[in-house]
Amino acid sequence: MATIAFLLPFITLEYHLYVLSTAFIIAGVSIAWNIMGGFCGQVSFGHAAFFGVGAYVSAILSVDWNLPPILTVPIGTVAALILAGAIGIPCFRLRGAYFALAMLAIAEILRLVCINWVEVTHGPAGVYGIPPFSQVIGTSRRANYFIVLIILMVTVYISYLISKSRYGLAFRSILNDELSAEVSGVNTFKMKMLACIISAALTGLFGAIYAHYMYYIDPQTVFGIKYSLLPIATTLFGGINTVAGPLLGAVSLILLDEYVFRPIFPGLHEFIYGAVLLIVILFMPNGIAGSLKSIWSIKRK
Amino acid sequence: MINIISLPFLLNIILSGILLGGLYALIAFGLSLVFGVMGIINIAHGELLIMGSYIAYWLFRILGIHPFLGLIVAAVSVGLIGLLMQRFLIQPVFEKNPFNTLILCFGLSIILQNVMLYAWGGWYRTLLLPEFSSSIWIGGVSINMGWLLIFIFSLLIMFIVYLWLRKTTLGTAIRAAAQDRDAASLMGINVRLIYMLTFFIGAALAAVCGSFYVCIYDVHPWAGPTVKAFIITVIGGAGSFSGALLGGVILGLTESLSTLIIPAAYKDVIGLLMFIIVLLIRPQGLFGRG
Repeated sequence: MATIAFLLPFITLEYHLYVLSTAFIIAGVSIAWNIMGGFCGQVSFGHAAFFGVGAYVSAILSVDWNLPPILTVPIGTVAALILAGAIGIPCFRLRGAYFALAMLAIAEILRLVCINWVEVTHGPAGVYGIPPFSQVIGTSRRANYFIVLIILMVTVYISYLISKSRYGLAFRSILNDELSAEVSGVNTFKMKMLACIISAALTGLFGAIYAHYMYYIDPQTVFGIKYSLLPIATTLFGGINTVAGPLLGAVSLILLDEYVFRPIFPGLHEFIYGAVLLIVILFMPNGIAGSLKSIWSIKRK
Repeated sequence: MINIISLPFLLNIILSGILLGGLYALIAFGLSLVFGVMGIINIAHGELLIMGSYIAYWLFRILGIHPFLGLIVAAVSVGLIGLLMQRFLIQPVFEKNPFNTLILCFGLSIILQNVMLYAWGGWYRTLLLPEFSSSIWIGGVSINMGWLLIFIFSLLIMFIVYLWLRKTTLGTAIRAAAQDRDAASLMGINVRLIYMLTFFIGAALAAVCGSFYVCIYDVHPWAGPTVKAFIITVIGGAGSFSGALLGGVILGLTESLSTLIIPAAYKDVIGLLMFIIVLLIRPQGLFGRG
């Protein structure tokens, strides 16, 4: 599959590469969300906050301060990381839903701040003229597709490493039963913070990438419900708590949306994603990858 | 920045904060009830509220029924919708895996928002009623008539529901199910039915708030104040009614007073700051039983 992804730019139209690239960015955020929500069980309904922070910090540094993308992208990532730490400290001492809703609130508030703090954030008009990743490559969609793809592959690999590592084990224990994990000696607060920080950093990274890929961002989009809803819908669709699940879900769902739903039901995207979320939660909570895993393990017996 | 803060002006601000708090308390009340009984945070609570707003709006626009009366219709219809939601969507997921109900409610809120958007469009709607243009004067301070009525109504409704929960058999059954689901079940209480009833009440309360809401604010499909209701619940303590009341008033007062210092656009930031502060110093809220 990776080879197909690498070969595609040479045979397909630029437009399709654009769709795929956006799918990859969403996939990246989904994988990031999954590290916290799927592996560790800490759901967040406001991941757009991290996405937007990464995007805005990176964009403002590029446009207003003329820093090169090689600097702005990491700084954007770090900014999201700091936000995660700030939110995590009060919220993770408690169970479950507090963090999820706090994130929802934060995403909304950051959106409002971006709209109103015009001196710094350029207001509701957004930030335009964000430079591409490299002056050498320029604005070629084909070339930038590769950059997004490579970063996505790295992210998938990171997710894989985490799931196999000692930390992944700790995360899973918290997912299964937080109290038992705590009793067994897992420092649940530290682990939850870790999952959150990694998740936020990766999300911020993709936010910064989004900024340099689209050359334009605005508060409504990057802090909007889309980047909070989509990671959840795609991850659940593909299979929560798996490495490939979010990637699978994101690519399939976005391709479906673009080529199947949009021609037939224009303007219903949000509704469709919400409906997908609902249907998956009701009938297929483990998603596609999860169901495949169960079938696989049944077959082995 | 304010140069002259006269006493009547300050009193005005404090008073409007308290009146606002009454409405906020009612909004949190429904959420808190469901959370206290079922342990579910209904993220779609805000959307149920907005649905109530739309019903009250159309009743007034088309039939001329005043929202203070129309809220009965709104409450019953939204209550029924909530009941169906609970019975067919939430309950099955809750029994399989409680963790998923949070995500389910999130999905529901998205769907409700889009259904309302599709049905009624994204225009901002509000009602301009004569009560809200008139004020009464008490000792140099003016109180908006409409606000006062909402405050009184809200407190009245909360009090009635509170009494109902304390005194009636059904109310006691609800409280029993909240305390210990299995023990209640052993006592012969049909817990499933109780859950449906509780959700009905929670949704109905949301709709009542919605009917008030549309008289004051601009209503649109994604105006649902779920987050605010949640913040109040956290401040006051989950599952506690005096908590919802006090939390509502505290938030209302703080928001009102904050307009002296920060621009109105950042009003919602106050709520979030309070939320974080409460989580840091007293996570179970004022009256919470964790």
